[in-house]
Amino acid sequence: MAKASNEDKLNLLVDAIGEVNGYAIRESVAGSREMKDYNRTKWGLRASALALVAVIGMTTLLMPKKGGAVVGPEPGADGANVYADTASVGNEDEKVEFAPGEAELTLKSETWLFTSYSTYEVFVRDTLRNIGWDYFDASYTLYPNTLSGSYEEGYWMLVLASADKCDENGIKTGAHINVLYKDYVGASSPYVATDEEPAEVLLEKFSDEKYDEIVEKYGLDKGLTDVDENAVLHGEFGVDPVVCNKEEKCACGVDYEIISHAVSEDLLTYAAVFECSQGKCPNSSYDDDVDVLIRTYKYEKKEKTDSVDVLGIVSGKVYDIVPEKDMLDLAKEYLGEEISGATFTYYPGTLDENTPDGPVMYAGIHVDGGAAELLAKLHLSATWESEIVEQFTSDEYDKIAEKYGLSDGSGTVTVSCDGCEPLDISFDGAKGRDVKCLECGGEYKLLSHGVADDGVTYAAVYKCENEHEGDHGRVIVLIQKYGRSTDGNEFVEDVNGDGK
Amino acid sequence: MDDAEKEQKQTKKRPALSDAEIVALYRKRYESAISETETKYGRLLYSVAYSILGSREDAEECVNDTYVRAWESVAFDDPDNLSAYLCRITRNLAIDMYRRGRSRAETATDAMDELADVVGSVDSDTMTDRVALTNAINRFFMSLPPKKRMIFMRRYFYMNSTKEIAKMLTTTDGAVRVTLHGLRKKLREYLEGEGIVYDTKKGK
Repeated sequence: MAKASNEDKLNLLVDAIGEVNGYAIRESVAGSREMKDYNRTKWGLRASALALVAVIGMTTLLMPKKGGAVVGPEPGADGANVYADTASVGNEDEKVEFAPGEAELTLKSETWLFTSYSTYEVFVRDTLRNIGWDYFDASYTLYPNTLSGSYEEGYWMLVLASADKCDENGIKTGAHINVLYKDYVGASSPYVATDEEPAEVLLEKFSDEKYDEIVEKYGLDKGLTDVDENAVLHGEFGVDPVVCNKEEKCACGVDYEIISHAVSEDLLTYAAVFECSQGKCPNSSYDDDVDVLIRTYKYEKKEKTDSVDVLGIVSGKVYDIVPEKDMLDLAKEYLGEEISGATFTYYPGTLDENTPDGPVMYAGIHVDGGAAELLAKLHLSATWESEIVEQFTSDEYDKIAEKYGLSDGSGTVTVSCDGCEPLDISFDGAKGRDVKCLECGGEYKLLSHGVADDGVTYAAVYKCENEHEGDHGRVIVLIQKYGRSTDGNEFVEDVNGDGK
Repeated sequence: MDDAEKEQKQTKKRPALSDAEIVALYRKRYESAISETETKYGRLLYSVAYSILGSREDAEECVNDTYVRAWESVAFDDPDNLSAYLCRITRNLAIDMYRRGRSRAETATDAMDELADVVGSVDSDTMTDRVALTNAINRFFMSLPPKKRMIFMRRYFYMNSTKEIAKMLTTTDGAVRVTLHGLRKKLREYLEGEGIVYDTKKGK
């Protein structure tokens, strides 16, 4: 992008607006006339309103705003659950981000709360009388984006009355004033109008010139005020506010019309201001009903029943097993004759930690190139000595293998938990390299490894890379249990086998 | 009553031609196309020019220039909506005159100042080309509810004052200004989101 002066940029913007599509231009010409007609019937005071003020008098002032008459469903009756595409909850410091499908948006409460133009009118009249205005013409702007409070304690929002002073014939004199009110709108609110405490609190009287200051001071433009009536609310709630509101009818059975609606700053409260589409509801004793719908949504994190975040070692142990030298002695003793050498095959897949004698596994001893085949039962606990349990020939190997389950097992642990899909973890023995020889600190090399019958216990046999004087090399068995958990902090890795 | 008077009276009584009929006159290069345009849209175009220029003479000159421009281009462009087409010409001609300093309506100057907020500070970098910006603004406009779109157009296309807009919509000046404040902020955010305008202090 090329650098441009501020004037250049402004000119670009002004020109671009000048090239806006014809629809917007045409609409703005035709629409302003239609809107004027529309608003003439919808907003502001009717000609009769001035007279109405005198009639209503203090009766309305002291009247609770429609009392407790709740229109529409009872609180919580809907109970609908909707899902958020993305959402965040909490203040800036502790914001929790939810991914699609992880968060559930629950309709917490629902109620209809209300006031009426005529009620506002009375408050405005009393305010303006104090500055010497006996007659006036006012229109009202409600700011649902300023909604604050709670369902339990009641809500309030800001309402602006813009009033023109009139003479006794209703002719405007040219004097103009704005009056900002804090309007407690909760039917369940402790601030419902009473003899002692009016429902509205006067905040400011100000001229048009001060308007920007007021906007900033009271946050009249805060929140998300531009909720498109035809769009999904804020793009996040998954609720079309129009659809919601159209489900509701005025007490007279006629649809409501939305005047304005917005989402409060916490993003969880949606407020809509609307009125009976008939204008004055024939069933109401009030003139020009204005109802406020407040829906409060609450995000709740879904239970983790179908997925697991963390996977790892639940526990780990390292056992010294009989050295190769001792294995030779064992074979020699069993055979009763001198042997020159042997090779060993460890079967970690035969690991059984729960025998009365403690953990055991089997190892094959291939004596003198096949002169004898022995099967040793290796006790991993130091309190038991290993023993030869079978002698067989090479031809009998399959039978022995079947009898003792000599498959060395796969290198894969399949872990699962209630309600979740099993997950395979493959090993290449690399984990064992984290274990150093307890005697010399040397690296261990993997001899064999396998998974016990329980499916979650992985055993690996390692031999130190260094020759150890007298025992032909140190051999260990590393046993690790793997599991799945929603809380990764509970895993314990006790690779030293000392329980610490 | 002589024939000329009769003809004049008949002309006054005759309803305005449809847009299609006027466009057809332009295509056929009949000079009556301009008089018909003036009859139907003269006042509208004058009001558009006057809102920006604030001078009767300059507004009239601007409208006359619009007719000249229309004479040159209508047959070629074949506009779907003649009023919007003419309004755009008038508005942009008036903006050109405004920039040349011929005359400036106070409300237009105020509107320009407000729009300056949208494009950012002196330290900001620039915007992309006009076509991209126009497309983005069109998308932004169409995302707005009709009433807000109208308020924005009235203020920044026609350069009407907030009081005039409030009167058109039978609402308050304050309510219009609040809406415009929100719309400018939203437009700024939208253009930033589209990567069309950004503040180098904030980064892109």
